[in-house]
Amino acid sequence: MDHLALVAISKIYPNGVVANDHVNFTLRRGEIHAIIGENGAGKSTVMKVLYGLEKKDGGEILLDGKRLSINSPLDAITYHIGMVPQHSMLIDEMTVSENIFLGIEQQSGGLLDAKAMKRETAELGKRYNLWVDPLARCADLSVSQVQKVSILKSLVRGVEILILDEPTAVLAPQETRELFDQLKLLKQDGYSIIIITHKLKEIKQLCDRVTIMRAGRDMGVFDVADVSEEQISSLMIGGSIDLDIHKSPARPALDVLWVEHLRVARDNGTYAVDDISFTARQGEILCFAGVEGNGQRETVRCISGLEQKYQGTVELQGKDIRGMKIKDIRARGLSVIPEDRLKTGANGAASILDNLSAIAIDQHTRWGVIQYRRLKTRASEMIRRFDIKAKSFSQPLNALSGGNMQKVIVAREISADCALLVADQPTRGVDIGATNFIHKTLVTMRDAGKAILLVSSDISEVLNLADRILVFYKGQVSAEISDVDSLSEEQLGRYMLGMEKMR
Amino acid sequence: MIQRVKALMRADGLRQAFFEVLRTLAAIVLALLVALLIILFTSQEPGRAIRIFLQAPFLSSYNFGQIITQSIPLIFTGVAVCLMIRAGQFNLFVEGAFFVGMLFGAVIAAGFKLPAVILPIVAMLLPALLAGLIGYLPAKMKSALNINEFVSSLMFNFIIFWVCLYLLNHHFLDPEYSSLATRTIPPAGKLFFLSVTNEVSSSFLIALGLAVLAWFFLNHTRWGYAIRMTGENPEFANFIGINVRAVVTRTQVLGAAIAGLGGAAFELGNFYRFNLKALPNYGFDGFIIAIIARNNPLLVPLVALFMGYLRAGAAQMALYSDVTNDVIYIIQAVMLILVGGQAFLSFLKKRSLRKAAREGGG
Repeated sequence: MDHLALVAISKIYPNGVVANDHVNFTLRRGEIHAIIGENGAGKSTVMKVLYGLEKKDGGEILLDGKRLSINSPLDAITYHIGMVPQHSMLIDEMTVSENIFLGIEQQSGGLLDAKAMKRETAELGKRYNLWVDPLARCADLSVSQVQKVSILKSLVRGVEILILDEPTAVLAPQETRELFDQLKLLKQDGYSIIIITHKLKEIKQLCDRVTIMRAGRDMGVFDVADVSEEQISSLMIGGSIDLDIHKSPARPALDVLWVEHLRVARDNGTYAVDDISFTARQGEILCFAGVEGNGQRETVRCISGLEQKYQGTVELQGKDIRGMKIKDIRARGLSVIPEDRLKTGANGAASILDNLSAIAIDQHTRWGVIQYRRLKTRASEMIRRFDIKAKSFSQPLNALSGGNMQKVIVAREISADCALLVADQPTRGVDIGATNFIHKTLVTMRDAGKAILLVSSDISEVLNLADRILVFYKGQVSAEISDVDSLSEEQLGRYMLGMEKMR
Repeated sequence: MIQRVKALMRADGLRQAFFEVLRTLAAIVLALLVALLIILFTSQEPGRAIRIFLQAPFLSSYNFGQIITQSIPLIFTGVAVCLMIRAGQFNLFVEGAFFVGMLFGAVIAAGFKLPAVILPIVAMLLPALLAGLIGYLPAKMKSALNINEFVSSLMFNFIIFWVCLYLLNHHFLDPEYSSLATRTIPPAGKLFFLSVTNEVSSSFLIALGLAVLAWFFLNHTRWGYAIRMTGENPEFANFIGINVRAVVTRTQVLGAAIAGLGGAAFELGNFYRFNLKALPNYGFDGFIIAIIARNNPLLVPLVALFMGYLRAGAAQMALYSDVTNDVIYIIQAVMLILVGGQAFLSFLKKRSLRKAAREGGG
């Protein structure tokens, strides 16, 4: 008997994207069930419907055969369903136990019973190997600790069905293994766990059953023991894709970017980037590896001219860029694929044409009038070359899937004929086909003599693409690795977690 | 194959446009119904009042002209507001700028000795320049000090209003006229009438031309592109190398200048002297027009004409029945709420989206 059943769930977003098309999903008591699918396949959406974050447009949710109506996370929690979000939803200024008991504070005599809350946090943490100091401020926690707190938060609220949204996306290998052990412990105690993922390996390691999703539909549910990784993969993608990157050894030439003693201060006086020096060279993919939030973002912001307050020197093609306008930095040969697609990298409300043309407007203007006819030809060409799936270039960018949006940004930045391409998490939230395409594009550009600076927290991406790796840890470079081929995942993980340091 | 794709594209675009038109029409009809209901309950002879309200603008040449004349200031301020909203700026200074334009248009046209064609042009451009210069202050305060332009421009309106009134009282006053007013604008300073019988002035043509120009400017020039990107996503605009602060300042200055030009054109087209003693509210009306026109300058004249029709009708109704013309404010308010409310009729859009999704085979 299924503990939980989602029957024919449909969801259409206001921009017309059909995220779920009659999706079925069942969960047994005490199992770990994976939902796997490419980005944009609708796996997060169906779970958001279950957790009450999205309203469904059709279908039913049954718990032990009874129909539920879930309109908000509060409803979901009443039915003992909880979700651990991908990104921290904790309040940074509060302590761990305050966050965990937020809204359900324990009281004694009308006053907050901080002691009891602290005690319970500690006990629960010990029991499930999820120990986090109850009195630590959440701002000071690492990504994996934040995740633990989020899990504890659900447990305290009496959750029996726990949904985890891509929990390993931001973890180092060691942390992933630790998390899996904790989840298995929970399973033994009768908790049912749903894990959203797009990593095949994890399913085999952890899960009992897997539901495969593709393009908003479910492709069926399988016992993990009965299917091979290849079968899952082909159901997921709908065919096979050559995922190998064929890369010849790099032949680095001249320095393009030269960064010396870079320091960026935070508001509280500590340093987000604490004395980093490096160079990026033509014909080489230099990779910033590291757990997110260790200074990579701030470094990239300095290089791209978005952050003006820094100490040290940044030289692009032999010229100090301090105080330069972004327009002029770009004219010197900088292209950037930024980390945040919709906030920085694109204008969702504008048309695909306007987004593709954004940095070519000036070259296609006469007497102030934009020569849209030429830009349209150019955009059609780009859409064809990069295989962007759009109905037309006058559609708003919002109407595209994440992968296609990213292709628009990549197409635009690459078309500028840059000397240095900074690619900040270029494949996050992008489907396998587009990821593969972006990887190949980066290698092609490298071979054409461009300098590539890749920022990534995805370990397999780092190991596959990088010619040279700088590992970021707490605002400093904890290791520089030139011989990438002989670097193991384990070793990279140790550098990322600051367990070991080089130089 | 390509033709099929193109047809699909067009169908999709048309469906969206159709939905927007439908939504606006539904809002108008509902707003009118509310107004009629109120007339029904308050008037002694509601049938007659309603008939006058809806029919009168078309019954005489003069009344018909009133539709157009009433729409002229609304087109100018509507276009000015459109531009500023597209840059993400909610600047109320259009009100003050329009007032400045009217006053200085009248003063310059009556004071300068220039030949017939040149005089009205100068009397429109100088006030526009002046309004733009004054508008630079709240604009710069926004871009340099991040002072909310909505509040500062609202305050600015009062400062400008009292300064103008002081100038009128002490410097521009015509002592020979019976009440507070500037000197008479000579025929050489006036904009000519398109039709003398109903006094529709050529400022209407200037307004129409400006709307088209503003549309072209927004959608087909480098500066318009910068405005749109800044308004829709300033962080992205900055990222691609647009000087966001400059755009924020310049767009507000431009908006103020357009409103100033409008004030002068309206003055030179339809008045013989400046004699206002209160802010005429055209700037605030501009917001209503812009919102209903969805910030598209090309739609501004249509919406403004419709408003002109309502006002012409309401004016007649106030004259010949027992209903005051405040009714149009009720209509405006209801329309605004319905059009501004994104969720109004959104179920229709959703249904159409579902249909489109199914047809698309996704």
